[in-house]
Amino acid sequence: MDQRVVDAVRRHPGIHDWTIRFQHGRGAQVYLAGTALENVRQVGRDAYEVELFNDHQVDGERMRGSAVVPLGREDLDRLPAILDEGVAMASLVHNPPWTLPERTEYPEVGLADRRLVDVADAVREARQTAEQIRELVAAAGAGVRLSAAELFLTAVDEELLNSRGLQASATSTRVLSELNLLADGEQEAEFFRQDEARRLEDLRLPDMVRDAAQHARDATRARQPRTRLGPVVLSDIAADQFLAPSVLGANSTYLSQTSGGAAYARLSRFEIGEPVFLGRAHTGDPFTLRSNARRPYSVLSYRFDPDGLPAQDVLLIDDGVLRARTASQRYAQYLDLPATGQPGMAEIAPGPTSMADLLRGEPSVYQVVAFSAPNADPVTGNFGMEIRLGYEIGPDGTRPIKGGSVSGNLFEAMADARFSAETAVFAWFAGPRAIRFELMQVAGEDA
Amino acid sequence: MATLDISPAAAGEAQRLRERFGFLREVVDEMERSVPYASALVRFSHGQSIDLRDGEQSASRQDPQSGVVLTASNGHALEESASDAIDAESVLRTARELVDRVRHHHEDGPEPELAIQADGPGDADFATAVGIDPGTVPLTERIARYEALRQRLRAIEDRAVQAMAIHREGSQISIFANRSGMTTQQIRRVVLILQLFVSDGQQRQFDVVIKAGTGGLELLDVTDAELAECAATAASLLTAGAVPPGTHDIIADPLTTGTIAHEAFGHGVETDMFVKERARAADYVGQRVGSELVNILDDPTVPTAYGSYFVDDEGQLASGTSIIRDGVFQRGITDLYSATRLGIPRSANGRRESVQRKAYARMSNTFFAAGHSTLDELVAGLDDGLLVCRALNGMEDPKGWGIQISSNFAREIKHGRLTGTVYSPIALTGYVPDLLADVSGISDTIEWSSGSCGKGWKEIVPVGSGGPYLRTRCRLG
Repeated sequence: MDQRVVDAVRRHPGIHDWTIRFQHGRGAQVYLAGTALENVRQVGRDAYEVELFNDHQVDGERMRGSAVVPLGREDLDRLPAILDEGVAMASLVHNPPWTLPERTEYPEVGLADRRLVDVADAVREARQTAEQIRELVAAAGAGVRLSAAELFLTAVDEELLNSRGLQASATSTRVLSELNLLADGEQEAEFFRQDEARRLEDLRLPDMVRDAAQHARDATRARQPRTRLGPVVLSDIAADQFLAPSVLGANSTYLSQTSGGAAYARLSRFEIGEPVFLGRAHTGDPFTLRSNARRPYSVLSYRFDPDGLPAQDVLLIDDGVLRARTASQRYAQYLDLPATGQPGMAEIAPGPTSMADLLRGEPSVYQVVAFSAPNADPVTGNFGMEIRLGYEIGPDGTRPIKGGSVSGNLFEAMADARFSAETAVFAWFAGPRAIRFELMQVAGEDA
Repeated sequence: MATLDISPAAAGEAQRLRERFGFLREVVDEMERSVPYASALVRFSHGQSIDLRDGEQSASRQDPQSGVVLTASNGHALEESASDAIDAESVLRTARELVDRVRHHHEDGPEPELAIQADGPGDADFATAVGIDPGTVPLTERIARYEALRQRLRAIEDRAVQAMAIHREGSQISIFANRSGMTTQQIRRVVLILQLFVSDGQQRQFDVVIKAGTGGLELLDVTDAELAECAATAASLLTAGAVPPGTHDIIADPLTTGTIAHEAFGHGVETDMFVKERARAADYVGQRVGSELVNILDDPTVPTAYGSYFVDDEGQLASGTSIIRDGVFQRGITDLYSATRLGIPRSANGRRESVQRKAYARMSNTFFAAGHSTLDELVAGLDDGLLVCRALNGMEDPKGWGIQISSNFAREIKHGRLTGTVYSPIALTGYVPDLLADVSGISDTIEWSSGSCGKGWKEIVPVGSGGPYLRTRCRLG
């Protein structure tokens, strides 16, 4: 961290408290278009974010204003003017006061793949992994070929200081991959997936390519589902999308609803000590949800949150009843709750039933393995998602389906959810690999 | 050099940018002594945002995202380096390291030759025309203005539990250089979002008013009628039922129409998808893909539209592209790599989320052209249908030609009239050629909306979408 920033913030008039976050980021990106290398990129960026607080009075009442001031390298030569602007902004917004976290101890949380910390290593790993993807797809069998792949390997050194003496640092890495495979068949089809992990090995590329190849083949002969109200099992990518934030959202639906921020904004529909099914009777498996920011190598884990609170593992929902909320320092003080830090990885307890049993039913069960996009609204819980690939499983066998939609209300639907005993780790939650809903609306071919 | 019809203030800023970043041409020249094609893009931003809601307020400076990206071709593929160090010495050092990397890794692979033409607008300066410059209106005055609007919206509906006003304004500055010249552009965007949440004690519902565009604060005026409609709609959703699942005759409101254009024949005709064999549209150039009423365009030059710009991030001068004309697919929208690979003329659609990201073929402002009917005529023409309103998001499926759009609600139409019955939420899905073939009426005026567009689930860029009211048939759930 450039000491000029710390000194300037400490000295600046009108700043009554402050937090400085610094990130030194670098990484490699590689892109395949078909099997051809389209682009290899090396990137780097230092970024500062100063959150400054100005205490003032409004109508005789003590208020705290805050302003977030991101800084680029170019800004370091004109800090006083930029901080003047920040103080002016903070003095114009009025909030009930809250205090910043004090110095504390931080847990060790596995966040980094050592192979990706040095950018030259990351570029080499990116090229090698692209080559591995080409080889895996070439070996995936006849009729399947590579359409496109992208790989982003990023490392970030992060430091955080505040005016209360808090100091923290961490190094983390992040791997993002996109893979799109094409399959020949009745009608040529594709299967696209995006995956994120902390470590390269956690992508499990051979499994990823094998599954995507099978899904692409199945998509070539997929038909529309029928319109009906009946059992639907969400598994694999679809299970993750069901609980993920809608496109461009920040927190998964449940972690958003159970947060102190949502409660303070009166946008939470849950109350502590009450069931979380919006009045529906709970007939499904016990629903237990944790927010675990200490889970090793989860992309949602951290050592400290943006306020400087240490990572925690918090039980939020126990057997369908809200027991606690995640809360930043600010909302914890506003609502008189323990400060837990921002949400971590959502962990859902698995159920007692095998996936094979969840997929049984008369006359048939629809299993959805991928939606087009997640879109459950974090406040209302409403959703309506297009089926990108699924299967109708009945006594006569299994046939792939695609098109049409599954719709309803997420929070109500969870009242009768049954969870598989088999588990998986997804981008937005870790827990059962499949979730079954008895009465889910599917819109497809008209009956 | 052209300085095209820009204000004296913008011209002065352009001159300062030229003086500061004139070295980019020399950097490109040096790189091109070693590689067949090179370019440089410097970009940075400035602006502010405020977020006002019950119980809390916040203000932020826009992330400057300053940096440079240097592009070099090895004759078969591209290599790029991006850095936040944009002084001359640092950029030259980054350029030399990149050239070394390209030379080191230049090897024969499966990549065919990539013969890039160094097109570009030469030397020119561009800037958004701004009526009321946000910089001339003190922040305290803007906070007061938008807090008053928020309070007015909240006061309309007794069942309101939360009202929010989010205002953003900012300038994105970019300087592009290749061997054809150096361009500067200053794009000013403004946004105001007013969102009302209501509750009956059990449910939460919402509606939203969004104003946005390229220009100044004159684009953010909100009328009392718009506030009243937002409050009434949110309240009506508390008693909305689930839409009967199945295929329906619908009229899409302009926001939903724009989202249809965006997802169906926007993403589906981004030509990087052609290179990757992901776009079924590639097989339909010159063929009918919709009713003859259908005309879809992408145009970054639409005045005040949110996705507008003057030069794309790869130096191509902006102009409009006719994607579908009278129901016949004309052409796709390109980035540099895919246009070169496919051997087709470029359109100005090579866009980056930031210098930290690659350029892809991306939309600017994508829309259905207006037709000749009025909304009343479209409604009168439906015996049993739904007016689908307020698209919230969508997702493309260029290979399968599927479409997914989530809209906040739909109004029932019976015997040519709106009945007052409302359904929510709405999941619109369908097969794109069927949906476009069933277009049976288009209204005579266009409304624009603003949004953030991802490529898949990342690479976010600002876009406009828009259109008239559109009557067609699709599946709802």
